[in-house]
Amino acid sequence: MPAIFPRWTNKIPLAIGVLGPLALAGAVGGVWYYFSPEFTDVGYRPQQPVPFSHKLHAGDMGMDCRYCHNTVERAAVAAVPPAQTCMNCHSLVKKDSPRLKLVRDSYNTGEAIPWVRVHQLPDYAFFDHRPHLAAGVGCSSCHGRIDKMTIVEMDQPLSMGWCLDCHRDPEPNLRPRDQITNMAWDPEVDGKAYDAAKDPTRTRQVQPPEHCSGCHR
Amino acid sequence: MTKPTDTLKTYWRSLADHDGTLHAPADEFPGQADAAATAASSATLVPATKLARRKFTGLLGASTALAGLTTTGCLRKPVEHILPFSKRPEDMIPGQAVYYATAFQVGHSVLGLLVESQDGRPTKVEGNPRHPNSSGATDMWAQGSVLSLYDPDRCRVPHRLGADGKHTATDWDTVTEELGATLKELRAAQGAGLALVVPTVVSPTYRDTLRTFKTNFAKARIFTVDPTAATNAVAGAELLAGPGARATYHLIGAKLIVAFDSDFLGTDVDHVRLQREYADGRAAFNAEDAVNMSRLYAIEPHFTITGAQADHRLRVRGAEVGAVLAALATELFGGKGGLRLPPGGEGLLAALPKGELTADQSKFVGALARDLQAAKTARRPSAVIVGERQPAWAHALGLLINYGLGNGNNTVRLRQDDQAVAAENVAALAAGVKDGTITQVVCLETNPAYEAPGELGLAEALKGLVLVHLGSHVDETGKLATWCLPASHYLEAWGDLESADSTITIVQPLIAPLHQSKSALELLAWIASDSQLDGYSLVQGYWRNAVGAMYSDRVWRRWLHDGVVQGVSRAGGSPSPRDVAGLIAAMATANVAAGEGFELDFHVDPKLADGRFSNNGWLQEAPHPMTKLTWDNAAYISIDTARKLGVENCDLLNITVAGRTLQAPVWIAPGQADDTVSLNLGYGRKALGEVANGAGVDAYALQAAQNPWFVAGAQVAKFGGRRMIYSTQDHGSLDPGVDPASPKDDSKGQNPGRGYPTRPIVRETTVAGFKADPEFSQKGDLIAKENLRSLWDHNLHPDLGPPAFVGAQQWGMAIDLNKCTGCTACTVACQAENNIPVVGRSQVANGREMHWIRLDRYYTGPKEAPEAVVQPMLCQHCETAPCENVCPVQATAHSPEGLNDMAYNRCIGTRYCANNCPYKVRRFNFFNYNKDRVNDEELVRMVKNPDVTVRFRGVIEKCSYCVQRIQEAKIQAHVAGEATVKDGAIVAACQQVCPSRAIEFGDVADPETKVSKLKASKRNYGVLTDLNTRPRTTYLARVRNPNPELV
Repeated sequence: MPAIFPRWTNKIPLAIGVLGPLALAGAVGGVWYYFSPEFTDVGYRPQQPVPFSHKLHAGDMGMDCRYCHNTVERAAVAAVPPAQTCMNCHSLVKKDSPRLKLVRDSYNTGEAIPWVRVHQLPDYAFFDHRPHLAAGVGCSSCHGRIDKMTIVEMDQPLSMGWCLDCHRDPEPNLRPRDQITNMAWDPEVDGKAYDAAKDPTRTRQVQPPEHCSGCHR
Repeated sequence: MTKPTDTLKTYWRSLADHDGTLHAPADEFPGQADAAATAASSATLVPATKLARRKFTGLLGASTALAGLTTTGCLRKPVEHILPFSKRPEDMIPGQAVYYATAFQVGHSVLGLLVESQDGRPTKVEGNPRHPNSSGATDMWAQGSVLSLYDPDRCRVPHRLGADGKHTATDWDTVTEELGATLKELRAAQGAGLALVVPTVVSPTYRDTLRTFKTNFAKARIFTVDPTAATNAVAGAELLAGPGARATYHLIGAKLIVAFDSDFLGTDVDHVRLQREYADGRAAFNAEDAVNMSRLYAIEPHFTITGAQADHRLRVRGAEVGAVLAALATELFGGKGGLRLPPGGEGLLAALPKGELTADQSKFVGALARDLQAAKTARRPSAVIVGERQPAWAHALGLLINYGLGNGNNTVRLRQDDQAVAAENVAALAAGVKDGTITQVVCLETNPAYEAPGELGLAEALKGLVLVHLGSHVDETGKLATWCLPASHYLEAWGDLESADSTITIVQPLIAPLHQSKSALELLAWIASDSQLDGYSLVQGYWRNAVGAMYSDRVWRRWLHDGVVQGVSRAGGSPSPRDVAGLIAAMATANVAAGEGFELDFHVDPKLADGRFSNNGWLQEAPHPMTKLTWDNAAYISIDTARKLGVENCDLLNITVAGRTLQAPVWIAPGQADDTVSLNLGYGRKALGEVANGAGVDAYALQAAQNPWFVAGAQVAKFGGRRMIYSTQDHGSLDPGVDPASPKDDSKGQNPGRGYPTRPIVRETTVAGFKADPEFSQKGDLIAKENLRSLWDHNLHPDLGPPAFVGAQQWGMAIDLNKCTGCTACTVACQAENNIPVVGRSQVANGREMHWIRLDRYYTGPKEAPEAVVQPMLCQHCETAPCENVCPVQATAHSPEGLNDMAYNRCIGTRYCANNCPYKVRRFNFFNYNKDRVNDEELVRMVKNPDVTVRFRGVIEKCSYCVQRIQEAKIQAHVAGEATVKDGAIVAACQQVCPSRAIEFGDVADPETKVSKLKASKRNYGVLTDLNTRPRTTYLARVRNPNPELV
């Protein structure tokens, strides 16, 4: 009687035995690695209701971050500016541009512009800009080269592991506190030349929290 | 075998605990079956799940399958919008809290407040340190008041009663037009037949508007209906010192305080200030200071927190309090060397009402009189405080005694209130309504249909007569009103308030009215003079006129900023207690005989006041300071009375007095006077709101007109049937020796593992005992300190070693049991600060209340008339925390600064930590409480503190030492370039609210901080330190100051 199954089928159990665990491990490993914020969140670039270009304002024209995000040193959040801030200039410059219609409408009617949040932390994580600025962590360390982004996107994963990497070893990300908004500061070049411990303007050394309640309350 | 605790007093939490009949808590968190058993018998806010196991498994499978079908798990988090201001107000920083000064009133008590505003939402109430009546502290009512602002059951739009007897919604334009026409006619008739019913008015602008009303409606009558008002105290002062006289008590320096039926620490007028002054007088760092402590006597029928503080407490019927007071007056003024009576007072002794005192009572009065005399001789100030429940003559007699003792202008001060607008009482209102002279009633934030004594039958009589009702809810009176109008909350309205000591505060709103409401002031101004002005213009206009040239925008802004009006003179003459003849005349009708049958005593509820907070979930759920009842009131009776009536807790009593009947559940209250029934007001609301409905019984129905506070001659009998009411007094016992199968004293060695020796949780002594043994607080540990061995010595695992306290600052807390009165303000403040959900009656019944601070009240001594101690129990932040090493996911772990952190997003809800916590301070979210309607309605969500995570079902939570405030202070220090936080920069919510200043918090590593200095006291001890938990929260043992003559 001829064999019903060809001879090569004898290898199927072996293949399953070997490849199955490999595939499973691959799937687990793939999810574990690729489903992390580094891959799911970095590069998130939603369309904003007003095509505001940070590249133009912060990059080409060199405006300081704090002209618009002026609460960053005084509050947990670096508030998105009110339409009034835009109108400081745009009541004179490009005052009839159709792209600024929403801003003018907001200014006139009081309705808020529905900006889309790009950097979004979970509700149980309480991030505060103030101590980071006081410690001398630059804007670009977390937000990337905003001055080169026409549409703002997430540059860093903002995951807990990523936060803790810096909290455990903040030194490479520190800079003189007058350089915080300097987008061109290069940690590889300028950072190597800077030693926070020897900075005479610092009255205390940075000791970021690594315990739960540092961020979770 | 003797045990270290044998020399300590025994303490018990409940009668069952005392008698050894308490069922051992089989499970700290009873399972679903047990829960269902209790849930079935009680109304529920949180629907108790009645899922059978199979159904549950089925649903579990189905939901898992559905979760797999959808791709929700793989989508990015939902898109969130940022909505900035169009034009941001100057100085407004999104995300940063701002505080505004305002003021809050209950009856004659005015508290200056600083209210926290989070992006425009008022979220938390604090005391204003500049205001002498609150001096930075507040009470339970003020803490809860912010939740009332967001009450979803508030009246939102004006309503008009239709011909069909039903209310229909309308708007203010219609009100102005149609009601305005009616008022015009009334005004033309000079208000004949019109009654204006107002609450206690201590607002200068309001008073001014009332005067305008009187001018324009000359024939109208004004009535005050407000059970929280100090009506008797005012009448007593006026009796003795002439119209307009007001007496205030001041306990700074008072060495001897006698409270005659006065809950001056809890509900009586100015209790926040008095509590602070009292607590200051109980400070005793060491045995030498203890000698200077004040001594408190209390004479009362119902065990109040003032009675719990008392060094000597006499339980007598409400009517007999007057007899004891009269006997004291006889002792003090009579005989040789007695106090001098003012001129014209010769007949006083003969006129004093005579009651029969027992030998014990006479001994008490004799000792008290001698103590008072001795204090006078030694020029030590004393204070005799008569409570609001006692009639006017008792207040006047108390004043006379105080002035005789030389306390005048010191601990007791008289002042003239010449701004008051005369108003009649509720009995006169009822008389007018019944004889037809009153045909139209306008009620401004008053509720006479509910709050009038039942004897008056006003609810029935008012039908068809109420023209206008302005109130926060469509309440009992509102339902009768032709025009039922929504009232603005005090955080939505402009106003001003003058406290009993003449401190004036401008009440400024923190938010525009949430609904279409008007403030009482605005409506009254419109009624009085057709004024269309808003509250701001009214208040500012009044002050602009009142202070004349002194007024400027700068001055006004200063007043608003400080919360205290400066530079306005209120000296209205200084009255003196001279009209003894009037007092003698008033005493002629005084009745101090015990009276026949049972006496009914009525009390302003420590939680709901007169019912104005009935629909407030925080206050309904807060355990009653003494009985720990939640969500209900009860007929409090003594143990002997219960035996006589043959009733147990929760049995229904039928209470009848003069034909008025009420069925109320029994709660046997140790310390209650025999043959009295105490009932708290503010319960038994019908169709008021989701929270209020079904809570308790309406005690107003039983009140008599003549004396609403106590009435004799009641018939009380067992009714049959029960109404389950729930007390938290046995929840979270720290003492395992409660198994009825084994005696507490396991000296025979039976029942191994059971019958532990009583744990030394509360420690106390007397002044003499402190002197004799300054180390008393260290005595009683079941394992001597030197025998304690650290667990960690043997543990060589690198990750599971002892927590490293490497932080620059180490946080700790000290709680002074000498000062803590158990007023429960901290529990509610903590709830407000930390977004703690309300769980509802059925969940409390299951022991699932979520309060992070449990105020343990222990009784000690004879069970009929015990003494009481209170001990706030919250997370102790043990350095070697037993909860941490049982957590399988490290959701709770130590910070380098000694905090026992809780990471909610890590917690998987095993509850091992709660089981392993010897202090029983961890709480578990059995349901998604924060998604229940009472906690999650769109409005209620606005009260949440944005700095604290709102917890989800299935996680454990507990006191965090207000870690959000610690972090904020640290961040501010770091931004300022400082390495450490200054002492006093971090104030925990419970510490901030505490009127007694019983709680200190700070850096225990620095010996110079306040908390370290307190912990250096000889009285300092840790609870259950013999378990080697090394708690960061420690307690200062209580020292009582008894009169040696009475010991």
